[in-house]
Amino acid sequence: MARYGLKRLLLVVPTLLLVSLFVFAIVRAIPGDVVDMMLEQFQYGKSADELRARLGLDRPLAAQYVTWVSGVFRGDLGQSLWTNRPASRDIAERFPVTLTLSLLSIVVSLAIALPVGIVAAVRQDSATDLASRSLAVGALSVPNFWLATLIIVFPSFYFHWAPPIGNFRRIGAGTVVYLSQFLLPALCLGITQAGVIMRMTRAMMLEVLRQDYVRTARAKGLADRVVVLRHALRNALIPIVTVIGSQMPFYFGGSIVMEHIFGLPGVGSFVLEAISRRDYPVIQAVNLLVAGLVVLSNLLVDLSYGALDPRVREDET
Amino acid sequence: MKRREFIRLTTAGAGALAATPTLARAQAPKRGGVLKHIGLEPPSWDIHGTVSYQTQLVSSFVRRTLFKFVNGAKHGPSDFTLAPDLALKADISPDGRAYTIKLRPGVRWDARPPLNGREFVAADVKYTMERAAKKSGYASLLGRIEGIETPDKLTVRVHLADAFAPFLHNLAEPWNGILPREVEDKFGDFKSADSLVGLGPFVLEKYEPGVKAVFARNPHYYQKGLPYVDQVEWLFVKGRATQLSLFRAGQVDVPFYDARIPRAEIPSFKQSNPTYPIVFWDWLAVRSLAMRTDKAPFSDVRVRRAFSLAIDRKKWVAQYLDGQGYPDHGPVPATMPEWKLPTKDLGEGARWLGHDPALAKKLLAEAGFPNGMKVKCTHWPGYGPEYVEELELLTYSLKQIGVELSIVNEEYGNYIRGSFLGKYDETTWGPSSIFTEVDGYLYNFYRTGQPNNRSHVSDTQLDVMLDAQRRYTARSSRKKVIDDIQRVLADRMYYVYTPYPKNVSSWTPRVKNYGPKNSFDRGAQLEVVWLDGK
Repeated sequence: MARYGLKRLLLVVPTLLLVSLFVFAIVRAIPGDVVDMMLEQFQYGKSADELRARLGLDRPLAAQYVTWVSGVFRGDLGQSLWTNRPASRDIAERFPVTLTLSLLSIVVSLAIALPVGIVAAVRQDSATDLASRSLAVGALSVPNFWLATLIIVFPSFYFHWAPPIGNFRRIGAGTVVYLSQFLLPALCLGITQAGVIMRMTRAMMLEVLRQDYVRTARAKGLADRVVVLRHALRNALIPIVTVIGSQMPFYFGGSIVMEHIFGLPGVGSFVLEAISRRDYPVIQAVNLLVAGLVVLSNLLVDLSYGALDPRVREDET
Repeated sequence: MKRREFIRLTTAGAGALAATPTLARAQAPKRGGVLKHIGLEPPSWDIHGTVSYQTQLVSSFVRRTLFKFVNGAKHGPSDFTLAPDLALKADISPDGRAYTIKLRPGVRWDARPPLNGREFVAADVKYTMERAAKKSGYASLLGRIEGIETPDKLTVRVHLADAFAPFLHNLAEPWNGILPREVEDKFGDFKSADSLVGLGPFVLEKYEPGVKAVFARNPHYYQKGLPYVDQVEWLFVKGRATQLSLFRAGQVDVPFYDARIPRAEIPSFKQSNPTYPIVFWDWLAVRSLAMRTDKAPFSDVRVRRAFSLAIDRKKWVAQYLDGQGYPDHGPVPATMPEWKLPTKDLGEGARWLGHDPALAKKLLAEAGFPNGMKVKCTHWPGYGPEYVEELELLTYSLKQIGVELSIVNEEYGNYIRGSFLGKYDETTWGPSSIFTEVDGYLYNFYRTGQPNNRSHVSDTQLDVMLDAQRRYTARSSRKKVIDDIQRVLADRMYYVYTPYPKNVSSWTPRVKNYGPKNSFDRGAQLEVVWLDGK
């Protein structure tokens, strides 16, 4: 298992290098040059050549890339071209917000999807099953930004109430105060992503519940709860965990929209600003971080297979 | 009355009216409270390093200018009467090239390091003006500064190479806020929020990136009794639906940086928040169809006139804007009545502002387009649905004379560094920046080679007139030149201006003495505001 983990960990390095190259190239492919923008839109200097040199953008792209990557290995993600602030400083302030929102959204998704998916499978073709399938399709069909906008607009119109937005409190204000600010955005994001997991849970449970060992467990006289939760669910979990891992980019992407709507100071709103200003170091830093997290979450998913399924552990040893 | 006396009297008189506790006492202002205001986060805090209005807005709370525009509910949104701020008066030499500015004594900088409450002196003004002339994107709006003297610690004398009429007015713009040299020495520049140290009505108490900036009353502010509110929370909430919902719920007092609400929301606000004031006010920006007048077909004045004749401006305002707008809003905005020449006085050019599709078709035929034409028009749809609807209206109007406007939606970055600056193929449509001085709408848009000259105008006669209006410091002489410029422009139709809607703003009823203003000097606007009720 340890060897498997190490092998997967080593594979992360070339993956991240490829990601870094892609991020570096794609950022520069966005139409609109930062120097033009600084000069023409914001009058941020007098001469394009002088500004380009000052920002280090006059050197060959390969040299810029090597400088950036070597900086990243030293923990230096670069400085904002506009404010001179280190990107790592802004990210350190904002990333916990995005991470909290993403994790809470996953919790919401699982809290809804797993029980509903399991019940739907156990009571296949019943009214409960039909209702849960409708719920899943509904969740899949409703865009999270629409749901979030409704949650904000309707109460303000009819009850003169709006969620407390605009006075964000950091974690130092207390865990409850901090987490309470994420409830509504996490609910919006979690519900819409729950549909996928709910359908997958139902499908996998249906498959597993027809297996011989489940029939054997029942024949042994085990209680239904034990059969379903201990024997069936555990075997159904591997594909479900895979789906959750593959959903990670959607959680991070969805966080950007939720941060915008609910006024949360996460990396989402930060990177949107950076994109509109072509602030290359910031865009690169955030993208690399998100890519790293997606790679890491996939790694954790892979490692979890071993924990969930003894056959994987045995194969690897 | 001589020009020098005019400045002295106007500034002193307006200052007394604008923001003094005397006026406030008459209306029983209340001290205290926190004003919650939707704001914008600046890309940088250096007013010379960027022309971003977001930077000017936050800077104006803390950094002050030599003069300011009058503020408060009694003054109109485009009332740019100068009031003294850090300066008391200015004398202009007869040739209009030397300005002697007397500074207000006893003004002190922030009590914190590195300024430690030292006195504000003429050297601060000299340092700031020299820095602005060297670094600011607005430097040309200070004229050509030849030299700055400081005969004593409270007198500044500025020598200009040529007379420049808008000079004093432009000193009241927030991008001319006075900066202390010690702050640049300490931080290296003014880009970070830490550098926002000044002598204005507020001090920056807290800045949380992505969340808010909190401005607290400056206890050492030179104008005793002001500001009335204890704090202004400048909230960086971005989503428009979120901003309006917070406003409906009473969680914020002012729903946008200039209190604007969308026109389409008026009925729902009247229903959900009937006690909130709904105020229509004059806006200064203009909206125009710019054309490549340097090449065919728009080098032919008949084509440009035909385009203008296709628009039924009166009907546009009456039906689409419910009467809340201006049919003739350019080149000089209708909201600058002291400079705007009424349509009836435009002479021959007035004819082209009417609605006459038959004549338009005839002109197009004479220009070689008897079957109409197809024209590309770039724009940025992100300005909002109101702008998109107006462009559709323009498209419909042109279709009536056989012109098919083919709309090209552009990404913001491309638009702002391309079409906005005249880099497009045939036509482009969109709003202008806001200028509080008439020169901004004339010189910037029509002078040969100016970056905002989107229509690529190159007209020698016009250039001479545009230069001349900058030299006349006597208002009446300048007005005559500007009148003539407007006549020429109406006739040559280098841009086709579309009607302009009034802005709509609202704020919570507890906000008193608030008046919308066509200025980014938010600090001066809010220092006279008080809160009455929870």
